[in-house]
Amino acid sequence: MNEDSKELADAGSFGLKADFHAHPAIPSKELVALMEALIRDVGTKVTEQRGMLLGHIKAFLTTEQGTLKVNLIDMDIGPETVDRLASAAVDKGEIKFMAALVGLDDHDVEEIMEDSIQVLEERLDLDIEEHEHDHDHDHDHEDHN
Amino acid sequence: MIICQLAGFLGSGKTTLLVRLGSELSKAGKKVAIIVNEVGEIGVDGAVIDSYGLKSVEITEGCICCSLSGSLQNTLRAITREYKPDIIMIEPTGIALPSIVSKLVRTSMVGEERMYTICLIDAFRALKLFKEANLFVSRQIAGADIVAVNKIDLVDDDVKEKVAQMIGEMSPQSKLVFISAKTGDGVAPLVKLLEEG
Repeated sequence: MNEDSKELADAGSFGLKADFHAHPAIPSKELVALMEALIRDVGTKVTEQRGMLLGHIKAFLTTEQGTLKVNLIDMDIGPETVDRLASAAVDKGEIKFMAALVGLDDHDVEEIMEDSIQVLEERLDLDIEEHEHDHDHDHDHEDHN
Repeated sequence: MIICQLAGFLGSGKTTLLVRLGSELSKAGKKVAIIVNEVGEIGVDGAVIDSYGLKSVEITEGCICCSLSGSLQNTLRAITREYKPDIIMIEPTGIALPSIVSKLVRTSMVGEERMYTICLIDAFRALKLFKEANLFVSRQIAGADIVAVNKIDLVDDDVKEKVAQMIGEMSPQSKLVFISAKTGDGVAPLVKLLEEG
């Protein structure tokens, strides 16, 4: 088993997890729109960089009021949402956000996603779980400040 | 015990089909165990599956067909020993090679009576995928017991025909089915197959 399927597919991936709080509580419809905007922003950046979107961008929110799943696979179709939030507003929860994309490496995907997540920060307080890199670290992180 | 691998490229609808099959089989009284693999360090699919009341074991940060092959085999053995399921469903990453996963399952020696590999193809993006990632996608399809053309609710008959023709050329021995995991259209025969073994 010497083949590495990720290399064969020429794909990169990244994922992050964050707790979020909304002050005041965010209306569920606004939260859905915000998550769709996040996913769409990643898709747009990937398309600008790569010329097309080939892969899968997904986010899943778990809250006390239910769950929300948003996927993007094709820019023509746009985000596909499964809204199982049972209340009109949400004040806290957990977000899992990941993407696997063809034609980009792990570092490219990470930079795009970390840049895009700022879309949420205008409305949500995010406590992003620190992660450890296990891929080659022969690049410099861009300073976004 | 039956083992079923639900394979397919990124975004082909594996998790949606897995939730549907898992729920139907559980309702029918089958003890279902699910192994889900994500290439990234943070898994989303395990949380999605669990939110539908199904229980999954998530293997992350690599692919079970290569870098995490040992984890797959150990997980299969542990689930078989401790949970004694009727059916184990495996969802590899969208960039896994199903033929390698099948070999790993066989060499795990967990005593399965039968194993099926169902490879999903997203009907809406199939022609684009065959153009942009032909070699990889054809390797995913090759040797599948069943190729399930998914998302048929999004395409017309002309596209279905073209996709079927291309799959037939890539993997002539595979049985071809047309489904919508989202609406449930065409899924019943797959449930029956796994229910009856």
